[in-house]
Amino acid sequence: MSLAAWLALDLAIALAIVVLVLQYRGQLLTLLRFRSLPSGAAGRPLTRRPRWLSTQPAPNPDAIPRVLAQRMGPFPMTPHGGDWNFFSYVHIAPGSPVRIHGRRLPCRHANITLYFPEHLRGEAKSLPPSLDADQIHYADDGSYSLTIGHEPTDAANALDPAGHHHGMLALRHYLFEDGVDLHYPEVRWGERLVLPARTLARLRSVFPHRGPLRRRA
Amino acid sequence: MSVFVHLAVIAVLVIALPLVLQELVARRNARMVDESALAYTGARSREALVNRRAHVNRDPRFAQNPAVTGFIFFYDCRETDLVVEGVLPACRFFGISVYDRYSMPGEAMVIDEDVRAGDGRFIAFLTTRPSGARNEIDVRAIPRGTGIIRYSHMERPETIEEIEPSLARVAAGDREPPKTTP
Repeated sequence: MSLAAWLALDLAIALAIVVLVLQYRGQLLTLLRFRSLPSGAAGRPLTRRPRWLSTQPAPNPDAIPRVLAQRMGPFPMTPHGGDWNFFSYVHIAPGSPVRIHGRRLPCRHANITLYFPEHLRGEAKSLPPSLDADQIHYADDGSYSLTIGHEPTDAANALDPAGHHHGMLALRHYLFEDGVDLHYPEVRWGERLVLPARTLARLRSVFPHRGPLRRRA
Repeated sequence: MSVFVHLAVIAVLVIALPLVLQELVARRNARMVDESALAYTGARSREALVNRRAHVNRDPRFAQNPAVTGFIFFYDCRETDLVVEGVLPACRFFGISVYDRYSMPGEAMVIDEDVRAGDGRFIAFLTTRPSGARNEIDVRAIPRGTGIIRYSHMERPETIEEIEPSLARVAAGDREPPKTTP
């Protein structure tokens, strides 16, 4: 074997390792396939095991590798109280709506948005469907349920997938107080629980800052 | 070649490949941001905008929260501070964040409560020598970068272009202890 062939083999092995790491830490292949889906594509789920991912750096435990975060779209906000975001792939099959169940969000402002592939490619001509925290109807215990499906629904909270079978669900939380517990909702595709609820305890926030107001001299 | 040489080559490549990829994506993002800036402002170069002008952020390629609107600006605080002043309109959230060349956020950021200056206006300083004032953004970690001013759920988002914030360098001589305003 020539030196060039050996180097090519080493490069291939290194590339495979990098792809495996990015897949393990950021679901690289799901993200790439999602971005490249044609508008309105149907078919099977891009993954059977979606995860919460975040473009924010640590201490967000769902932080994806920096190169993926950059590729997903630049400019996430600081996770230190300014914003806390996470997203996950969802498969919206006919007759099998996505069901999200969560708890009231302890922050000044929160938002749930459903992106389609064309939004991530910058080709969308309309804004993605979204719901703000103050548009959500809560149950007496402070919980909420949200349905994303193709069929008509009488659910109190619903997002219209507009015929799309593949979406990227994004949750953003602005300005939480120092030490709050942040609840991640549970997500079901039809009856199947794909993402269990979880809580991140005592998030750190640096807002609002203390100190005097500086003015121009 | 021995197995150890191969392992060494593979290890170097495993470290180098993500760095190369990261650099390529960073350059692509920077090009995208620069193109946007030049298209929106009509400026001839990015340098013409540094520390001078903020422009409306309407580029759909940034895939941001659809309820958020605002401005982007480029800054260089290696020699001077930069003061950002403007209108603080009725909105649910206001913040100024700074980003490195990889489009990743700095830890420092300010929100409406930090920068409210009265009369419906805000004032914020980007500085590498923070004095402890609440409206300073410490950019020691990112002395050159991109800033984003966000307004979430503005009551009248269609007026965004009427409230373009102003940018001005603040000379080192102007850097005095902050006046204590409650």
